[in-house]
Amino acid sequence: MTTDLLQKLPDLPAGPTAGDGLPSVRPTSVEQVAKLVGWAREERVPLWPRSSQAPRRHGLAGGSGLAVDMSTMTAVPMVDRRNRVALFEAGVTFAQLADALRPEGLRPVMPLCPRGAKSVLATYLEREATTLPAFQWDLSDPLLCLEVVYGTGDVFRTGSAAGPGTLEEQWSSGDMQKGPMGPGHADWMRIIQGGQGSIALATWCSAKAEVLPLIETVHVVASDTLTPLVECAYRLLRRNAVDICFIVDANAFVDLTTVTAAERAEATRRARPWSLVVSVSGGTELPRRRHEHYTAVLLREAREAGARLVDPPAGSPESLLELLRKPSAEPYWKERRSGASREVFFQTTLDAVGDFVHSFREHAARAGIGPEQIGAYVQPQLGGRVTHVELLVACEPGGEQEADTEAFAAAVAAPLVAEGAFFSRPYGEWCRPALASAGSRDVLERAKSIFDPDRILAPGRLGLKGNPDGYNL
Amino acid sequence: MSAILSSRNIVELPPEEAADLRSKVGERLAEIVGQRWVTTEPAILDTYCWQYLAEAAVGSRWMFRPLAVVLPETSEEVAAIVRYCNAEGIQFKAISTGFGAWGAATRPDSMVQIDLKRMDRILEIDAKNMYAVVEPYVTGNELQTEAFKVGLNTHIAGVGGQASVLASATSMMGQGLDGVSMGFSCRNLLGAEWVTPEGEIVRVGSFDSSGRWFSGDGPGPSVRGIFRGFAGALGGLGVFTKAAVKMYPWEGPEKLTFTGTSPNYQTEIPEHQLSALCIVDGWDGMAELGYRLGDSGIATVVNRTAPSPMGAVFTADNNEFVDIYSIPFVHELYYTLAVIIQAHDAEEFEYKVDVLKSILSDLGGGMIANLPFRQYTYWFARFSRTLSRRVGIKMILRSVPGLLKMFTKMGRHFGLRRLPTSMSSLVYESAMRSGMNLRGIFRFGGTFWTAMGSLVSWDTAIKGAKVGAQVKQKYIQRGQFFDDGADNAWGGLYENGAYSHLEELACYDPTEEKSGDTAIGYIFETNLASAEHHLSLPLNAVGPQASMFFGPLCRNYQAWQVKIKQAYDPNDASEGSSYVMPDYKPGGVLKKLVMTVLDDRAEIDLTKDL
Repeated sequence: MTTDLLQKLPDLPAGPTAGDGLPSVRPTSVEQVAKLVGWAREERVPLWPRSSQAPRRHGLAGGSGLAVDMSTMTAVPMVDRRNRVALFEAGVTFAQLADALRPEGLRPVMPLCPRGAKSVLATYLEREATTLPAFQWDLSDPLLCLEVVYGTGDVFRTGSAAGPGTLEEQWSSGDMQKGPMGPGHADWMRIIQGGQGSIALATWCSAKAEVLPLIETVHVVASDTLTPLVECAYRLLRRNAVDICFIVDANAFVDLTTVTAAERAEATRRARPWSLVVSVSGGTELPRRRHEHYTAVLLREAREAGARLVDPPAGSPESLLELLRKPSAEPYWKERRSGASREVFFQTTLDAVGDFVHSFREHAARAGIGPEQIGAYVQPQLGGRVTHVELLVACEPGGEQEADTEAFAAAVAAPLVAEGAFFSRPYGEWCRPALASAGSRDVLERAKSIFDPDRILAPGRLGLKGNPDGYNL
Repeated sequence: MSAILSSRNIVELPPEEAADLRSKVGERLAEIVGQRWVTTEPAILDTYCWQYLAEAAVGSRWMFRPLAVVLPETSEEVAAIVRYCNAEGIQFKAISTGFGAWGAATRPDSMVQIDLKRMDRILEIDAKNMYAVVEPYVTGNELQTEAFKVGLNTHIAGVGGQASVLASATSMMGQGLDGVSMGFSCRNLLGAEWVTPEGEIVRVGSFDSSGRWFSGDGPGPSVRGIFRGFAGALGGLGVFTKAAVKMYPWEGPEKLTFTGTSPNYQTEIPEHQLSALCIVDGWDGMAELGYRLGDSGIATVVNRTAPSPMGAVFTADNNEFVDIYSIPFVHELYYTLAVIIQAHDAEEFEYKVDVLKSILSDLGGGMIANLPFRQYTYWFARFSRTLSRRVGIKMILRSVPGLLKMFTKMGRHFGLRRLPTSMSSLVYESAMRSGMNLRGIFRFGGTFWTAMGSLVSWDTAIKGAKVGAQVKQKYIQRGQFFDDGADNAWGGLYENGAYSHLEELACYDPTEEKSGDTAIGYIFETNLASAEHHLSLPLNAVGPQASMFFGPLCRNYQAWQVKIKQAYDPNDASEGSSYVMPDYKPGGVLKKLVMTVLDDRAEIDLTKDL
């Protein structure tokens, strides 16, 4: 960035230089963010939002510009047990949110053991898969309302948070920003969500939280093949019998549950090829009876599906539940196998997962990647209607293997899309096959022009066009 | 001319010019769909003008005559029609099952009505992955009937089982009795085929790249957000030709069994299902009941219907209604929730029913439900006791003669054996098939409008119900609205209580002079009250007029709506009088009406219940 530009930069605290080498600023209020966007518009400087602390797996800048680091915005102004909701700023991590929710008897809706530094708001904005499919009514869940600054510099609030009235006035009326749609005829939150920062910068959000059950037990249903577990998951989700629900292969399960080499060796020996991990809770009313009933349902469904209940490959069921309620310990579980990894994820339906895993392994084998490097994590969403499939390829960091893995992960999207995989959250090279349809691309380009007419927010993300006049960097 | 359209510059073409234009448009449309599927016959066109709430929209029972009506069969034909309209500078508006003035022409000889009733196929029901793909003219009851056969159910909007699933999911509201277990219509949308206002066919969600409809969001930002917010675009942003919607587990039989003859028929409540009318003490009790039911996740339906429409729904004509509503305690049944429970097996059923009993016990409530006789009697007694605590035993005793008369009549209709469960059966039919709401609400005055109804917390919804009733009381006292007891708040919970809605229904006679203006006055006054009490955006925050009022109170969202309209419909081809009109300015009549309301506001006192 040139000295001239820096001199005109609004007076904001500087942040650390990010992994992509960009200078960063740390606004602490929506007014500061709006001022920054106004400056960036005037000076045609790209802004790259980030609210998670380093390191990041996605969201690195695709070019030069200025990083807008909101990781220090960590207030949680509202937690409401009665309406199962919280409102919090962009930099709040899952551990911080869980700490704020716990005294009220609530828990956050979480992805599978997220990185400790991961921003909750960023996670929800990216529509990351979460582990409680029974509580997900819409793929946008648990995100509800947002405060944002559009690429125009306008401050906006989505959903019922828009008004009438201030947040405090709404709270005094009992309204806790739970309506995600609108205001009016559009669903602004939904347009911003999934935009990877290319539509608006979000400063806070309200989100659904769920009741922290007094009784909850975790169970592992194991099988040598995926099919019985898919069948079992379908049945349990249809019955609303389980809270946590996901499937992992042996590699992913070992990575998730172990840290030391000794633990890994033992867990690798014990892990079955596939495991369905579920929790049964007592809910809020007659909890013992509910827990007993649905535990019996689980046993019956597992038996009928031809699978059986086993202990986790490492630790106890109690320690596994504890692990699933928290962010990942270090090192991050996806990087424990070889020190680094690349992930390929997409959506399909549960009954198609087996074919995709098989196909992915074949593509990997052709690229010289062995089965020992690959872990599979299958996350039903939306009550089992949609499934997030995440295939992790372990690699050693910093060398040729990591570069090759990176190249493979970028290239494999095209054949998977051709086979019917839906890359709903496409990053980088995935955008080309995922957004091949001209109609869909045109709709997104027009949206970008409305909310970020100078195309200063994360330009080029999702393959959307940048500013035709270029940028002053 | 009524308030809404007086703001528009309505220019009628000279008759000969209109006839020429009609003829030209008809010929070209016939080239697209075939002569059989186009009409410019005035007698047929006028059938599209008789619309609910026309008196409020245009001050007449009739909307304006379209230039032509065209019935396409495919998405490609729809797209060709839309492109033609763009090329000729003619507006278009799609209608499927239709319900209201917003589906019709708001100016004479200005638009092509695209009637989608030939697109009536259920394209897919994926039983395993619980979604269905439908065309525009598939109704809630049609989809439900087919879904039951494969163990699924569908959300049906409160407008009724006769309404289009697609229209509700893509374009228009979506409150319903089953929201606690099956959500709000737009949140059930898993993808759509959208003919944009310029005539491009865009497939939203997973279908575009995978050929399957399981996911509606992405790649990247969700296009759903552009065309569908709280309300939808009400036909003002293109045409939807396919929609994928979430389906939900159905634990009942493949087909429901009915007895009796229409209109006096009853539905057999299937095994492991409970249909209960639950009562508690006052709004505070209602609040607790709602929150605990939501948290527990046991309910398939949680619905609040006020005493007057409840009486109307359960009776076949107004004479029967008067008989029932004259029973003193009936019009005191304010603090009730209809609750339906379904379970997979006997054990789960027992658990869920015990939860309901436990909650009601804690709240000092009771219920009338299809329980075994001894339990039925016990909970009925608790129901009576709860009611008598509020209204006094004397009123209960005064009600006995009327009750006996009612039971005698119901016994004649349904048989004495069914008498104890007949109420539960009627609740069940009304809630599960959503087939009886309209017969109740239209009957009192000929029509109705509705107000308040924000999607908010249950506490706030209840507060809105109180505000709405007090605003409406003024109109009742002046004889402008039917006296339904003022509190006619209808609604319930969504997504296990994540949010809720209660809307204040108002019944009136649309043939009365100025009834439309009165209704608009009521809508404006309730909108105003919603804003003043911070009750979020009510369901009438729809269209340019409301956006002009609420926009400045809500981050100027109306300006962003105009940008969306202009970006996706640069020729303003998709008729948007109930959505967005970029050049909208309020007319003199509307301004005058607003001033009249402002000078004569109802007093709101939230410390009292009506």
